[in-house]
Amino acid sequence: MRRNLPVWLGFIGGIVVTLETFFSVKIISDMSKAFLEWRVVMAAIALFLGGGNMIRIHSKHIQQKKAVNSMILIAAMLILFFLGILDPRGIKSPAYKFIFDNMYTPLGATVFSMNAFYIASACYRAFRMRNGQAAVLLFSGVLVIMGTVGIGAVMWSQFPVISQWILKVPNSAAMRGMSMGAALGMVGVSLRVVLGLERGHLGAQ
Amino acid sequence: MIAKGKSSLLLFFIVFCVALYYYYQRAKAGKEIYIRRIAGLDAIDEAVGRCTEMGKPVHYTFGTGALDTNVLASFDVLKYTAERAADMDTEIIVSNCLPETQLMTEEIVKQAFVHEGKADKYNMDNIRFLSDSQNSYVAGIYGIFMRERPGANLMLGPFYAESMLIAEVGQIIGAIQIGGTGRTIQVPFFVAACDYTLIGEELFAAGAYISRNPFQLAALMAEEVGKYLVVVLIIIGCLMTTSGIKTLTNFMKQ
Repeated sequence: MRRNLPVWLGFIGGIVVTLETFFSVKIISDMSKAFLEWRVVMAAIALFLGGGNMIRIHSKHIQQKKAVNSMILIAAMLILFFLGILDPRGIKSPAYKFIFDNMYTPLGATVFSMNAFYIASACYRAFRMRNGQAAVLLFSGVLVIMGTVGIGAVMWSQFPVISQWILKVPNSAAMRGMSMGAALGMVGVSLRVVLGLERGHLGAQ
Repeated sequence: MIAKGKSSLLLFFIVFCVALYYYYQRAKAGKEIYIRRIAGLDAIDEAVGRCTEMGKPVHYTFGTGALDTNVLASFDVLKYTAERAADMDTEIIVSNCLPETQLMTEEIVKQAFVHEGKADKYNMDNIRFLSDSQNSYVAGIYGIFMRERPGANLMLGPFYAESMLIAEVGQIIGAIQIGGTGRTIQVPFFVAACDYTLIGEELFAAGAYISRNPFQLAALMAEEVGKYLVVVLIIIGCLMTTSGIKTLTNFMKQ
């Protein structure tokens, strides 16, 4: 029962949503809409469970005097939570907005901005000419860079043309091939899950 | 009754289902189905073995995308990785961005440890929900990387910009890295930063590849049929459109 019930629920849900994709039948559309709404409700409930997991783990850290970080995290989480709940304006309350705009947003931007440096260091490693394939990657990468930066067009007017050709022809061809393969893979996994052939998500052996 | 613009898609879906049924029957009859080597999946044993030798944990994450087929396919790899980790007495840390996957991953890892007869070694605290916000989630993983120094980092799922953010820091701490996603736009980042990459469909083949279950392999063969069909349609479509015949193009729009 514990194993079969989730498989049957997955089968029913999967079939209804699949039928809704292909057919315009009101009862199926309504059922599908209801399933998708349930999913949102379940995700909201799961968020509380996720928050509970965080509090449990970090409380343990605090008890074991392992991390000041855990203390800051829980304090920040509780302050924001109560600011959002207690003020009738919710997330639009000035205090909540102040913390979000002046603490969370700059910290998030800091993390995200590191992408620029990481892309550069990853490119440096990827562009090392170790074999023929790496050489092709290096030369095509350099050509695309030269065609994209302003100085490239000044040096040689054909750099942007070559760059665009690389992006539009070989690059698009490879990306579309991958996308089609991935799309078919997604259909395959969905069917396997709906039909109960794949049960990894249930922890089944 | 058929939704507008979905007729050709429905036909394709029916062909897919027929192919699945055919190969399912073949698998049932005991016919062997060939599947090519996928280096990224073969490397999981090496990655877990390395962690065991170094006394470091394995880190596993799904990315910040929604609970979709990428995550479902990744669960099979997590199950296998957790089984290997349990077998080799190595810790496995799972970082979740989606609260929905938190309970599911807890159950998957727990079952893997039970399956290997190491239920007592299962540590619930290693299955962690970090945040559903991308930057906070990445910062949480940085903390894990810096404090616990995993020897292997597996990133399989629907990744967005965090692919590069996590993979580069994984590289800095010297972890062996396996990346994979069905979101093809992120594949180049994994190729640049990871030791092994599962490209697009390889992630979706993971469950069948790892389990070698003939019925799952049958579904893979149905995908192959779909692929050949797409290739044939592309060639015929190119020829017809070049000749000014719009029949196929119009049918595909229906």
